[in-house]
Amino acid sequence: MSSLTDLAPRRPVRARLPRRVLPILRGSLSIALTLLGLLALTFFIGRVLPFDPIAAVVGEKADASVYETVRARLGLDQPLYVQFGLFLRDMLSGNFGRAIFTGNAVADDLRHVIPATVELATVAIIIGCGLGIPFGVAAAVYRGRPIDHAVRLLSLIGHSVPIFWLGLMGLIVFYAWLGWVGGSGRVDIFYLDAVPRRTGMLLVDSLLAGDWDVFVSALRHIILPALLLGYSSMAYISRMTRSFMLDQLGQEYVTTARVKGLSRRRVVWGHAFRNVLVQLATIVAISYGGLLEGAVLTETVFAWPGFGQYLTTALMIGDMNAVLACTLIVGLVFICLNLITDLLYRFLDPRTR
Amino acid sequence: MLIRFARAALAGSLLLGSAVTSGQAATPKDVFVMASDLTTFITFDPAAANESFPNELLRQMCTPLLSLDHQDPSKVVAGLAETWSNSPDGKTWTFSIRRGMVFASGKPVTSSSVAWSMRRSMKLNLVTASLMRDWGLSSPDQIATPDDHTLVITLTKDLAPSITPFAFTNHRLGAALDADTVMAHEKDGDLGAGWLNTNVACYGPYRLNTLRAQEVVILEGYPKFWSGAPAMKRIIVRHVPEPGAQRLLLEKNDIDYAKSVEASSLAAMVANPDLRFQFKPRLDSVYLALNQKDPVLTNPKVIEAFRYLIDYQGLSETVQKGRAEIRQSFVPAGVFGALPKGEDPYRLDIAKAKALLAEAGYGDGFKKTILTMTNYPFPDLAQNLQQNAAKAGVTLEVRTMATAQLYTLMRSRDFQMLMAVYDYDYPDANDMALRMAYNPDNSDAAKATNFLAWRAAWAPGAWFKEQVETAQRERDPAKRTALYAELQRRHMQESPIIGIFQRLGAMALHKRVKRFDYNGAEIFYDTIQKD
Repeated sequence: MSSLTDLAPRRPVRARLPRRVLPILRGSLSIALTLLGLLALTFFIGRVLPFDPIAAVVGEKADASVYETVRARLGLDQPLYVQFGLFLRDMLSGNFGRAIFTGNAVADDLRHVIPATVELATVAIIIGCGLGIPFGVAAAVYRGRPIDHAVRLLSLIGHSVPIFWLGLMGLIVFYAWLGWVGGSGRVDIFYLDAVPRRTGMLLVDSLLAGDWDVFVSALRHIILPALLLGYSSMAYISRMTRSFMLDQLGQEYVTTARVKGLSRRRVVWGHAFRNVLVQLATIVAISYGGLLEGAVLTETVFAWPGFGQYLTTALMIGDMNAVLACTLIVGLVFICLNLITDLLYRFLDPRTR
Repeated sequence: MLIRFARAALAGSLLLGSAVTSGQAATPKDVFVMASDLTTFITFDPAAANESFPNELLRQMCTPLLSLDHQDPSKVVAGLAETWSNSPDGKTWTFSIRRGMVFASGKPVTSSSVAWSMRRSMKLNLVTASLMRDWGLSSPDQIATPDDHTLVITLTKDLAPSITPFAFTNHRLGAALDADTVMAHEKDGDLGAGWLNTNVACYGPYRLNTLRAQEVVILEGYPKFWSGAPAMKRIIVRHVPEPGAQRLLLEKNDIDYAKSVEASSLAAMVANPDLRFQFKPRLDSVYLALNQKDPVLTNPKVIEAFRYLIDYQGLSETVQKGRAEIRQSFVPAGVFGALPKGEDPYRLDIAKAKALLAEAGYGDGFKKTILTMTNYPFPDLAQNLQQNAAKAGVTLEVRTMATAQLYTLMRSRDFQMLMAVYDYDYPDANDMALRMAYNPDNSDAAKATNFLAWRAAWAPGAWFKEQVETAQRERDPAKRTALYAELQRRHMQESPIIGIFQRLGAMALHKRVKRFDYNGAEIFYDTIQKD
């Protein structure tokens, strides 16, 4: 005998599919349009700005005929919409073209600079969260007490002192005077290419190769820039954590928990802190995204061959292939971070499931 | 701006604690490590290379037909060609190419290798083609190879035979390319240009081992070079864009040579006993150009007034101390045809400038914009002029910009005033005279963008044209010198291109570097020696 459900009229498969697929399609379309808008805006602004990639290529000594040859070779004699269309066409086939200022395929350049930046940003965000969250919680719990003032002062310094100045000071003290850390670059020059490139992140690659000398050298080089970037993130994260926590600590459920006799640690970490995790995830994602965009000044001071320096150089000479590829990457990074944060929300906050 | 502030901050802090310890392990004896800014590295293609530092590296890998003497740039010595001679009219040049040279691929270096490289440059019509046209070399038919070791080049220009050899000392023009290797990497008929952006297929004392823009460049000594492998088996260039960080590496004994030295750090660095400095006048002119499309700036009294508004002396003792010398004539000191040192007639004289402006009918002053580059020392120089001009009633707005952006505005003659530097190609007054005092056609349509006179919209007139052309044909050195002297003196009085300084190259080396050849025009890595 058939069950009642079997007797109910079945909706055709075609009608059911869209209910699941449509939101995904809509989401994908929205992402694609956002990225297209971002690229179009970047491209047209980049072309309006008075940066001339031809001048960078030919210098000041070439005659007019050479200038025109290079203009044609770079496709800059085409109307703007054609240039943009050609870029989109190539990009869809996975080809970002050639970067003028390095002579390489943009994709090859990105394969080098992105891991360098991801490595630095990841170590920095770990430091930023590792210090910023406990400091922020402590500042909220001991509001108005010396520890709160100390954290505020530390954050203020992190926010207001230019990072390149801190970087240079750090190099003078910890590299030149004390010799505790490595100087500029990602690794001692004689360890360059000493381990096979797998991820492009030297700490990981040296561990995978089991080469401790390279690992230690890479660690000695990354620690100072990562600490400085982490310090800057810490300043932001700790201030936001403090603010979120103060909001929670003033709630009635916290008072109730205290009245019920729960320990302070339990109230702070088990109740209040759990409730700020969602907001905190957003803040950390934004900080991490900012670090992944590249920290131009830090990269310049520490000669870190990262994304920020690459993008800035490309912008300065109007190298639009590289600029657009970087813009796309930054857009994708933020979209991915948004998606990851959304997933984290579901995990951290049962109400959003 | 931020970077400039950072540099100033670093210079200050380094002064506070200049006693940097230097007990680190030194770099190996046969490896030369240097720090430089490798931010942009457009191409290694001899047909297109235009940037200063990539060209310096390329010179070590691409030996030209002839070479400048390591110490005295006015002397031309053998390169790929062992001997050379010219026809009586000075137009046809015959080179006898060394025997026994081989590329890394094992293919022999012959006269055809040089000829192919030249013809390739002509076909691609990139920067080197423009350079070749300057010498009257524009057709493949002008190059002949009667046999594997004889190269015959016929130029169309009538030049004194003492000038022409400089053409072949340029590594971009006179290099030998391994045609088979290049063409094996040809793509879409580009004659291997895409591949040569990041690869080198020349013959020279060094070969390219690694190139990663914004990270590192490594050159490797070429053991099959005719004079043997150079003493430095490897040249490692680390990307360190910040001059302050370069200084720390040098003082910490981690590098042998810091490419960028800030004027503010110079005195402290020179005093460091672990470091060694080499100073050499460079082949360049720092100048102020007044655009002759601007009716106010066309007035000869206004031009003269600006000559009196520059504080040559003050700047050379402060901002430019140890980095430049006063040079008001367009031929740098030490070059054939240069005026004697010290023949710089102008001094800062605001009262005189004011009087000249009043005579010109601009007693109440006027307002102009001056463009300059963002890098040292140009913003300081322009601001100094701005202050002096203000005292004479002239309001100058200073706009700084990236060099490439400035070039674009120069090419379109879209500026009122600009302050910049011009690097000359070879040490003979002919090069300078052509750039600064010669304008083949002042019309916009002519687009003679490689002549500074055209860029400043200055039509020097028949006398200058005749003088430049006569001097470049003159065979008698004494007469040529006299012609250039006259040309420079008149240029200093009439031209809207006002010479200010000749820069000094400052090489910051570790004391263990015993020999480092720099002749003011080129640096030679193959003779570097260190303890």
